[in-house]
Amino acid sequence: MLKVNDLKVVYNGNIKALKGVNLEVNKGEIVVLIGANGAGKTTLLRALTGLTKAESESSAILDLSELTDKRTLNRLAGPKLTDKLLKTYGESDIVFDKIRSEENIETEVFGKTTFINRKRINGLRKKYNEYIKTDLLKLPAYRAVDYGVAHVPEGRQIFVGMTVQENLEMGAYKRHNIIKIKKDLEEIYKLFPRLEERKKQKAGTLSGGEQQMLAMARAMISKPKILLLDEPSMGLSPIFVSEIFSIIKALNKNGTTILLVEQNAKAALSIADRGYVIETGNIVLEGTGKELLENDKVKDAYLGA
Amino acid sequence: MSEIVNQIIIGIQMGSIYALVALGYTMVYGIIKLINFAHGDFIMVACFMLYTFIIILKLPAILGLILAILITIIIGVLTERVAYRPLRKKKSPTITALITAIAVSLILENLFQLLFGSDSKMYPDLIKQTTINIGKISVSNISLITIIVSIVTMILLTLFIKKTKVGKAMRAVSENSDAAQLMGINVDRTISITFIIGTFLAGIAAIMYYMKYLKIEPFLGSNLGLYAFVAAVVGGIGSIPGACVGGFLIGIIKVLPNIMSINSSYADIFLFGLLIIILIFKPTGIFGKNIGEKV
Ligand SMILES: Nc1ncnc2c1ncn2[C@@H]1O[C@H](COP(=O)(O)OP(=O)(O)O)[C@@H](O)[C@H]1O
Ligand SMILES: [Mg+2]
Repeated sequence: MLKVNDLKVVYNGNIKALKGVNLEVNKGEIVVLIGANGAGKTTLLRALTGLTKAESESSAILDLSELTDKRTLNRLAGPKLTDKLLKTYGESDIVFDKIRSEENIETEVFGKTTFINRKRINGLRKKYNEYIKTDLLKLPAYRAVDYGVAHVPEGRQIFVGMTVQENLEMGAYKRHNIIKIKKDLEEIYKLFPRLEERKKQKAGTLSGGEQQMLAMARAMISKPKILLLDEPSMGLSPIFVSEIFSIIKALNKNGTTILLVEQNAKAALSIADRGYVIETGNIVLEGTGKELLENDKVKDAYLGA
Repeated sequence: MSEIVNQIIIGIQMGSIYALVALGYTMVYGIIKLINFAHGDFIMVACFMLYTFIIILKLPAILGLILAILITIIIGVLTERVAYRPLRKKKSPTITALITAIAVSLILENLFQLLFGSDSKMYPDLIKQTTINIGKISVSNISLITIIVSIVTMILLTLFIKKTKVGKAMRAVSENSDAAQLMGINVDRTISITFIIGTFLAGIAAIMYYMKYLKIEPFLGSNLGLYAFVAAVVGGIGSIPGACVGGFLIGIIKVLPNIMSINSSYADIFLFGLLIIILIFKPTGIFGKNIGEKV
């Protein structure tokens, strides 16, 4: 789903924070990136969402070709054309098959072949081809969310002067269906009852753990395909840590792909499908979560064994 | 007694103008942490546009108002695009941006001096002045219009920022522009919108100024801008209610010497004295925010 190639970031012209990182996240996985302070973990996530500029030879290809859901269709085709396509073909995955094929479908969809109808279908195909394979590094930061990438940044970075509810509304900034947003909001509140109790409160008045919950909830409400998490357990009490990790697992079960950066290596690796170890801007080890947990080097350096 | 009330009304009228200008300072500061020294000059520009359209070209007043506001908005947005945005992209230090703002201010002032000459331009009333008597108190219709329009504008602005999607995006950017981008907010566009609103308010303030003083000159913006800036700082720069309260407060301080029958030079002494006292005891101003991030 995400393939990072030769990712290099240089700060102020001389600090090489990332020296050519390659990594991959497959659809449905939890991938964990562990490393000491200053290794380059935050820089990597920030580069992926465009908050930090990467060198021009780097790339991070996001492949969304496996997406065949209605939401994606609606985003690409707009509500009117989506309606027509679904009426014609029934299910959205069939619609996507048709878009991927080279068939002339305008007669089936619109009832007759006209220049304009052909143009609409061609337009949709063009948009689709651009959408399913994107280099994230070439996008401005505010576009990442359009491609289903949500980033829970280091230090949470919630809007402290806004209410809890307003923070969540900002998470849904790029969504338009008010009824669905409301429904998702209710679901989020069910998952985080503490946030519901405090929804009219300024986010700055929440405890650290609650703020982390809010940061996660704010990312979730954008309905991401892939969620980038930067040390969500940092500075939290053990109860909150285990709650956060169980939420991450649950999110992943529901189909969200996850790239998790952590210093809490033990907890992170135990929920990971695969993991990478980063040291001073280079990936030095990779393997399944289990392999890394049992690796002597990892044990020595990160598990405090 | 009625004289005191009359003076206070004049103070509130001037305060309304300061408040509208202060809002421009405060909104721009809130979103890009820049004190836009050119903001006062946007009012000057708007006044000269009013003069050009209504007096020189003899257009109908309402058309003149609309055109003047539009041109002011365009100049404000262009200023941001041409002068401030490139610095922001290069992450230049604050001092560079400040000096650029001063440069923009000087360019506008001197450009209008070249175009219109440095002497004051006088012109007749925009609308006929009348006096409305309420009991013993007499209020000019201009004062009343100014105060009402300003208060309505402030209420609408507050609602806009609190309730609308664009308003919330502006708050999000001003709090944390990285996080705002992750939500999908286009920061550059939001900043442009802020300049549009700021210069729109400057345009409204210019109309009030134009009606009250009946004379304009190319350097009027630096004086007006200074008082409005002090209003924004006293109220708490970055705070919308702060700018409104600060503006009214300064308008009233300006008429205090008249009420006390002392030399009007005392106004500035009171005003800057108050500024110093407030900065000592509450450096963030009356409504200044102090919400810390909990970790
Ligand atoms: N904005 C910055 N300017 C200059 N150097 C930075 C900046 N951010 C991070 N660095 C440097 O880049 C390296 C990687 O930092 P970071 O990505 O924050 O590491 P981690 O998240 O793994 O702790 C560190 O040496 C850090 O000092
Ligand atoms: Mg970090």
